[in-house]
Amino acid sequence: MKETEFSVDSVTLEVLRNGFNMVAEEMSANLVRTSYSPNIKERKDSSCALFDPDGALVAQAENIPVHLGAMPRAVKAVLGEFGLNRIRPGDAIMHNDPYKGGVHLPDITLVSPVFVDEEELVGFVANRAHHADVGGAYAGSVSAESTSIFAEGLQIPPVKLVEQEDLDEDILRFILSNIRIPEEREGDLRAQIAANFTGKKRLREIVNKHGFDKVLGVYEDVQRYSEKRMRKRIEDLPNGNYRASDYLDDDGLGNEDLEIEVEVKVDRDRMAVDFSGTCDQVEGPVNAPLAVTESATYYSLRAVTDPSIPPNQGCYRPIQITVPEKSMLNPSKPAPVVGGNLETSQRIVDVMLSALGEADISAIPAGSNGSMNNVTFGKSGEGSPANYTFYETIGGGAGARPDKDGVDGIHCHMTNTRNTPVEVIEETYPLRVELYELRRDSGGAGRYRGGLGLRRDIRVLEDGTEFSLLSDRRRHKPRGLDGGKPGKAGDDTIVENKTEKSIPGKVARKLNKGDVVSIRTPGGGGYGNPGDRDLKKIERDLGEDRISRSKAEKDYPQYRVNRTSRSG
Amino acid sequence: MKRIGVDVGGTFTDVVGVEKGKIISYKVHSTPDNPATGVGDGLEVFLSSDSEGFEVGHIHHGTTVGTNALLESETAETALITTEGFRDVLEIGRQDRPQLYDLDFSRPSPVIPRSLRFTVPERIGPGGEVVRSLDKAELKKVVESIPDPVEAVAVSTLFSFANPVHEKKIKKYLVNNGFGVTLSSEVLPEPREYERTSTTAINASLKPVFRDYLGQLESRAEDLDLESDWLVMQSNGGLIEPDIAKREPVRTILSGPAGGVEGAQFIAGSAGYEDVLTLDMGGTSADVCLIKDGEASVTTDWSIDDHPVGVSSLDVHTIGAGGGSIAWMDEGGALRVGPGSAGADPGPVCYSRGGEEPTVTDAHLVLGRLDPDFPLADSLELERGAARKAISEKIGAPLDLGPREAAQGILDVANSNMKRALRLVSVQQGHDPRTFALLAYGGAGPLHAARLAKEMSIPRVIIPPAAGVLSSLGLLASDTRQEFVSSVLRNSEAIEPEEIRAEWEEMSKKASPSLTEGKVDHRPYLDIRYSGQSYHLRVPVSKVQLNRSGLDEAIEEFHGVHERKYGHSKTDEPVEVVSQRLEFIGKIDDLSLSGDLSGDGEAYLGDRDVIFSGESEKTKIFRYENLGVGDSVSGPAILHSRDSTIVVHPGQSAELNGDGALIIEV
Repeated sequence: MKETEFSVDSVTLEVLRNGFNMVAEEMSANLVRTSYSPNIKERKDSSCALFDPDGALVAQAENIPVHLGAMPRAVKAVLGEFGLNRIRPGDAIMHNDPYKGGVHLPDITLVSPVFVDEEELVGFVANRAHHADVGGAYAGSVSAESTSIFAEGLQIPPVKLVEQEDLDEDILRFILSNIRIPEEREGDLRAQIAANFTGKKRLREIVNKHGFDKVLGVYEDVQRYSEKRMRKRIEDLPNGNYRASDYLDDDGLGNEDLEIEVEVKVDRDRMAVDFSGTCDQVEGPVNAPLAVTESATYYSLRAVTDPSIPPNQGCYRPIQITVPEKSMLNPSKPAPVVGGNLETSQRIVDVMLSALGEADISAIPAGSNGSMNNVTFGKSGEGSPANYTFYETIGGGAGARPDKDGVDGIHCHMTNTRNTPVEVIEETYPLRVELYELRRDSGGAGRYRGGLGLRRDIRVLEDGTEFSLLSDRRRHKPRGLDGGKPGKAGDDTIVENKTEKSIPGKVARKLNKGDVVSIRTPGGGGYGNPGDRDLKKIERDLGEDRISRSKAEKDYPQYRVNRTSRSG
Repeated sequence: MKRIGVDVGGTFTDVVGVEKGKIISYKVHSTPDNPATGVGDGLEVFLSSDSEGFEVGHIHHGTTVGTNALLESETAETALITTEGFRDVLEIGRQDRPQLYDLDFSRPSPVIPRSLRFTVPERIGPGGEVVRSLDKAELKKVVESIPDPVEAVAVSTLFSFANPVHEKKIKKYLVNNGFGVTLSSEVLPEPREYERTSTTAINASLKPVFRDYLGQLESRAEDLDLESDWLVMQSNGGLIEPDIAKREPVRTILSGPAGGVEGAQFIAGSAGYEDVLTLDMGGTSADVCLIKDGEASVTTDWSIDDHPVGVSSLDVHTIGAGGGSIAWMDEGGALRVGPGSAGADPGPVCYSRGGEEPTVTDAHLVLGRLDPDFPLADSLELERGAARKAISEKIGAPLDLGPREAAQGILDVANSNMKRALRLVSVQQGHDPRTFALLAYGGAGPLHAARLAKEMSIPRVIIPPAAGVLSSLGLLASDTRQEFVSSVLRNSEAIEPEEIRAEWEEMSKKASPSLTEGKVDHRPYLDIRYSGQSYHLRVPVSKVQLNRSGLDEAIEEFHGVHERKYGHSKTDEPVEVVSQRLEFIGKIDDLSLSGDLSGDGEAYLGDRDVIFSGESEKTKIFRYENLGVGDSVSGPAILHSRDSTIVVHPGQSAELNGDGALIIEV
């Protein structure tokens, strides 16, 4: 057999690669199956991964893209804190510190070393899950108004939640005392422990079957394999320097027009991504820790190049990312960060796609909704239930593509969590959903139309309900491409005492019984000159009431002409 | 009076009966443009052949009419009426996109387009209370604005499962105006508005299709002087009467695969195996399913073409791995198999019909598992030279491997894909495959099963007799089944057991005639969850006559099931009963097979060289149909049958059991 660049033959490579993926997938299935909270069980806001003994990512099962590139730092943080010599068989190390490889406090990561025969380290398994609350000033720990990470919840540096198979009850009690709805958190943490247990078992089976040396060799092979494919795809892009910039509306505390700037340099099979020129870290919670910045960058590359390349450290070797310290995309403690993962990550993607579009416009869509539209309702005190936190994200319009319209009312880019059914919300919380529809006229006009945003109206049924909205693209619109018009910005209101008032995109306040919150999310940008849009498509949109007659007349000259000639 | 099974597949329509333990089967070509024609042809062939004296009782029917109508958008033009403010629930779905990284993604068109989705002012609250009463004047306007070609209407309003009063009023008005109506509170009275609305919309759009199709079948049967009653297979593996199928066609969408799993369940059960993994591997894909304690696993969380369907279905998982799956080198230098397939046309290289890409079937031929002397499906000639050349050029050369090693590599990679699917339905659901048997069928399943089982430490493989008509055999072996659900949604302490009991008695009255006489099994269930949880578990209840202690037992059982399935339970936490269910199972007489495979001639045909693990081994070759009950073979051996080829590896042994199934000890 030919000496290949791999340590094993192609068949063994494929068989073991399948096996590594199975480790991550089985962990993920186990985590989702045994968790307590709807956020993990229903919305699947979690990820699992396998790492080599040096902490390099080998295989990953992610349910939402924002976890994609953020996991590689998870094990590095543990190694940084403990060093290899203090990591023992049977340990499970927990952390959520965004300044040590985490992304934001609600995402708790659990890392377990995997040993064979109690002595040989064969890798790490890790899982990350979004907890519905980790303490802090506001129910749900996703507040638009924090000014420091200390207000955002409990910070957990790498600590051994399980030490040599013994659960540290003291640490658990300590954590649960600082968190709302402790039973649910405990259940979810135990599910995380069980998921790593499954991963360890599966990896040991593989090592027992194929041998320690072979497995270590294939770890490197799968990374080299992904690296090779990634380099090929980068080579397909024309060499050059490509720049783009865009803005977050604000940080929720009055600091506006926060610029993100990127320069992407394509040099044969390598790429350098430089965020110099991005604004300094800000007072409000939209700072993105480095892991988030990397994650959004990797997502953009993966989407534009080839999504079928297996995600592992090898994909990232040809890519160098530079982010200035103390900037919004690489902040220093104690800057608040909860929205970095949720909102800023989306804007990083917009900027990255714009820059890559300079290299090859046919590969990218127009601007999408660009926000996760995070909504939290919660309550501490009386009523039924006495304490609750309800958190959800709302989709919007996808950007139009070079050959098709953007999809209406859907999650784009860095998130893909499901909505909570209206009937589940109302059975569980003192809330009533009064409207959930596509937002007419919100998609940007173009040869291909941007997707429509969503409107969701929720009535509060009890006094003293805490409400928080963390969203963006309420002023800076999703951009159109190649002559297409931008999507409509988001626009939210509250009806209090029968008067409707606009509210800012980032806000937290108390509501009373009968108040109605109306969230209207951004539409996607259009692609191509609106004058080139097929008349039949305009008429179909009108027939389905996706655009209004006046909008059609305003945006599409061919429709005006057609109407005039018909009536004339 | 005997029963016959008629299964409509993509290529063939099979008609099967069992006479004195012997399987009688006929295949005719399916007629996709009008499947009723093929069914009629099949019946005619069966009746006019040597099945004389075979007096046909019931006709058990498996059909793909529902699936095909949905996949090819040939359903009836349908309108939707829903609660004001919620026109787009059916389109938005769960707001997630099907692929995470595909910027070019689309969403399948909603079952009902936006222009035919109407809303009326009304609102029911979570406790069933009327928050806003139905605006009849608006309803009138809406119904008047439904355009002409529409004859079917789906009605799905919020919380109709808690109180169907508004849906019923809307139905009455629609029926008076000449529309065919499906109510969400009738077809799926359970929470989750999107899944319920989708199920309701699909049902409404299939009703006219089914009415026409079953009408044609009945009249064709009359022409043949068949006074038989029809029973139609549901996705959940139970049969229903045509009247129910016409009313709730959504229950029959996966009728086809259900027949196969039911057949597998019958053969395995008869051989004494209660825990079984089934593998149906054909030309383009493989279906796997798990049977535990003699019951195939059932799900209510599945979809067709990305549209969710909330009525129960056997939990069949499909992957793109079949005999026609194409082997290829990717740009990173890895050998991959599938999901692309050469299908039946052009098919594998060895079919010599223009296929140029090497496939799994070609690899089997190169290794000698398949043989040109034994054409596939009794007619397809196999070209070994062409297969070897393609594998050498496309796979061997880049890997610097000889054709045999390359062919072995293709099988190894294909097996690793299938292993992943088998683990998904077993390990990922908390089952240990080492305690299961593997039952393999379909043209390619028996080629792979023994090796797969070995790699997964599965101790036993079962190859059913008549593997090519297992779906039809499954139809014959199935019972009738009817399900009723109604919403409860109350804390267990607030429940009066008498109310539940009264509702179950009410359901009993609605059971179809075939389910009120004969051997009928009543299976009551409660869907229970912890308060505040968004998912529930189905818990069996010992009897319909529920009292307080019966309810307490069910709750205890719930804690136990929760512990087993999710690894934890909280016995001191309050629980809620979400819904109550009643299932009627009408037992149909057991089939008994004689094991006489009806071949006349020698089973042992001689030896030939076959490659196992890179070594050429002298291998015994058998004609499967000529084996007798109790005959045993030891590996390495190849058994050629009319429908498939069975591989027994070195060191393994196999024996033909009393039903004519081959049991391989791995």
